[in-house]
Amino acid sequence: MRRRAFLATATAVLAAPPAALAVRQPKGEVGILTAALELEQLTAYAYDAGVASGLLDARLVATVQALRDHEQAHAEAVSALLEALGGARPKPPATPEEADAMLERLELQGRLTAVASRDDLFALLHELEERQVAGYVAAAGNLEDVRLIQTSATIAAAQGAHLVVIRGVLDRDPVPAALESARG
Amino acid sequence: MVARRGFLAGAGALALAGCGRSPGEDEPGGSPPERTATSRQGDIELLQAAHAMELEEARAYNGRRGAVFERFARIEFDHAQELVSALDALGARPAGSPAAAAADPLDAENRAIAFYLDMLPKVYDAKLRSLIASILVVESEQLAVLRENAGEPAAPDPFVYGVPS
Repeated sequence: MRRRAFLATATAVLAAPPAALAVRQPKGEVGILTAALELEQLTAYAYDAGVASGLLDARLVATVQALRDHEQAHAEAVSALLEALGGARPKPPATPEEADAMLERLELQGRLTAVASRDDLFALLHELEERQVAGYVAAAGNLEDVRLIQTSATIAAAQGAHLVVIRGVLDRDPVPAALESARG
Repeated sequence: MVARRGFLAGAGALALAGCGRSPGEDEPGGSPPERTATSRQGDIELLQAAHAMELEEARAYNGRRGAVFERFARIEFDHAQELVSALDALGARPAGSPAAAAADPLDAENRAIAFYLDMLPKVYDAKLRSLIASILVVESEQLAVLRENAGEPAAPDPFVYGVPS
């Protein structure tokens, strides 16, 4: 599928009123959870766009939908923790361009609007999942609350399993290193 | 919610004794809490237990043929070495080798994940918690590969808890 067609499909399925994405730096538990939730929502959006892209066969659509559902579950869990601390749920990206703006702000290389193949999509998803793992690994050190630490860790472990699935599609080493924290 | 410091204060490093907190309380970012002899000893004991478990995992892979098992055995030894370095930084050493190998790699990975999830909030030192989380993610990656090799979905659940022994 060509880029324009991909964008049209993704936009039609996912379009919503544009939302300005505030830049937030993690500060305290609320800041850490807000940043984690923004990334979960961005990743879920990228998975959704992949489902709608027409770039995937039926088997991969089912795989991506399953991983998207996981991201949604993570977002709900993090959102509940964030709201319990008095934080507000950040707006998710509503268009591919908004997703790209978030990717740029996070200094990630991939762009949703540049996805033109299955491998482009999975490379972007890999980059997002690695960033999430890096964030949760850092959070394990920065958080003090037992429930926050354990929830973050169970999510990080799930993201590790996601990475194995994605690396399989990209024909990469499923477990390239003994530690999963230096990348992203 | 249960604050980690309250969690640790109840019964050393191995029991939960939390306290309630209000939103915004106990936010990190101020001066790090001072390490005490109790907190140091708690971290040492947790690291020693983790080290023994990693060696047990490595032995579970060592007795099996196949490139994946050999690679995963090396990863477990690398984890063990990371833990030895962490112990060394605390002026301590491993407590000893495990009595036996884990019977099955898949069971061993599930146990390791459950162990590290339980251990994580009990670790006092922030850098050590990040190290443990990093190891935990790789254990989950290994579990996903083993699942795939067994014909199961690699990532069946949105939250990974492992299975305690």
